[in-house]
Amino acid sequence: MMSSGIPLWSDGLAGDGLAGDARRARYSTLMLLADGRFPSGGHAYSAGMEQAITWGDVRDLAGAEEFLAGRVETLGPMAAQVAAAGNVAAHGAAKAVAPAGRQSGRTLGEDLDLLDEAVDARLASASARSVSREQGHRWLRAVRAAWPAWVPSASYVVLDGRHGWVVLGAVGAAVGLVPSDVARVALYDLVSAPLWAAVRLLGLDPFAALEVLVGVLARADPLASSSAAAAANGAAGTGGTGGTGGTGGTGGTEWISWLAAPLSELAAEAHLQREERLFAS
Amino acid sequence: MTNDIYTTEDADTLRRLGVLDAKLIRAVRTGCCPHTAIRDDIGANLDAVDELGQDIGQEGVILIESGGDNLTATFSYGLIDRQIFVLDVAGGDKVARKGGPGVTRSDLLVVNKVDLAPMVGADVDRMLADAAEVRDGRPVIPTTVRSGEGVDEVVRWMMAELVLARL
Repeated sequence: MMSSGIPLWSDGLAGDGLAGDARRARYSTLMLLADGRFPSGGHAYSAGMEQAITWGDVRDLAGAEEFLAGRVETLGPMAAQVAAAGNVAAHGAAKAVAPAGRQSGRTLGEDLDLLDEAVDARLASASARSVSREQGHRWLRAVRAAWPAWVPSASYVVLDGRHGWVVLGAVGAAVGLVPSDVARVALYDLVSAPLWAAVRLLGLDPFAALEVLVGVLARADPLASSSAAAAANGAAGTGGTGGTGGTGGTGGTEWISWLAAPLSELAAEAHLQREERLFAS
Repeated sequence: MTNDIYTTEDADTLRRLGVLDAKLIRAVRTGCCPHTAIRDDIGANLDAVDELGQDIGQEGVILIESGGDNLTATFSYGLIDRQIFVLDVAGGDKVARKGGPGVTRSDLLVVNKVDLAPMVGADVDRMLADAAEVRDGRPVIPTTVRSGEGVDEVVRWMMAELVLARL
């Protein structure tokens, strides 16, 4: 079955399907969600950086930059795609009056279950999976406090306990963000948390670190748009990048990137065993 | 609940002293920012409170220790009901005069280790008077916790506040 591919939104800056004011509000919302001061507990996570420093794999800013590049290369596609797909699913739920009216024919909860399982299947480390769900819980708490009307109790129940990227995508839809927006936030979060952890642990120059961050994000940016497109295709069942197409019908999750970072997963497990650690991951 | 830089230190001390059942001692990892974890971004502590609260029930009292030790390390009231700020006499008698949100705004100010005052040349009466001046009537209690002096008064304050907090 081929979908006509009617977009739920148009991802361009000019015509994203939102009215003028809502579109402008999108940018301040985006800044809020990405802000390191957004109270979602992110400051306490180093995303493996602390362990990499302990092992001597990262000793300076150049090493930190390589760590970030590796993170974008391996986990980046999955993070961006899952966030984008969560966003597509939630936008679809908002527009359809009943599951049958949705592209996938499933409820939002069922769509998000699939994404959640996809993340579980792709993160080998139990510690990494548990950290990801913790972060989802905290994202949700903070977003609901900030936009109570947009993230009502019913949605909270559907969203709580899920992986961080899934929650990010779905709550992003509730607050008016489109798939490439949440993919950008996911990528930003993926690299900024470990970088600022390195700044604290190694005493790096924050200005030099900022320069590194700008470069890493610029190189990662095309991934946000391509992930949004892949999520749209995935939801429409038109197959994603290199997907097997074997999941049949609409919206399987085979298309989501299977690239992984085994050393990071080992680091996450090793980190959890340590008593003398400063960061939660 | 401890929010220390290296969590084993405080948690181990508490376990060694046997002040509480080891199951009830929890540590929150603060990512080098203990102040942030109790004041600006309290998510991890809220999660720990939720979890511990389920274990001990409604009648329990959760004590949250700050990992930071400076005059601006204060708790968010999104996390706590009451805050006790502790000054160490051995840190010098200027501290109360310097003020800061811990000294001026905390619900109870404890001036501890008053027995050390003669050894470090600190004037405890001066500290208490300086504190009273900036605290707008909020209580200040001098203690020497090691010998137990003043501890009863702190406990009485806590019990009274517990009643008020549960009204």
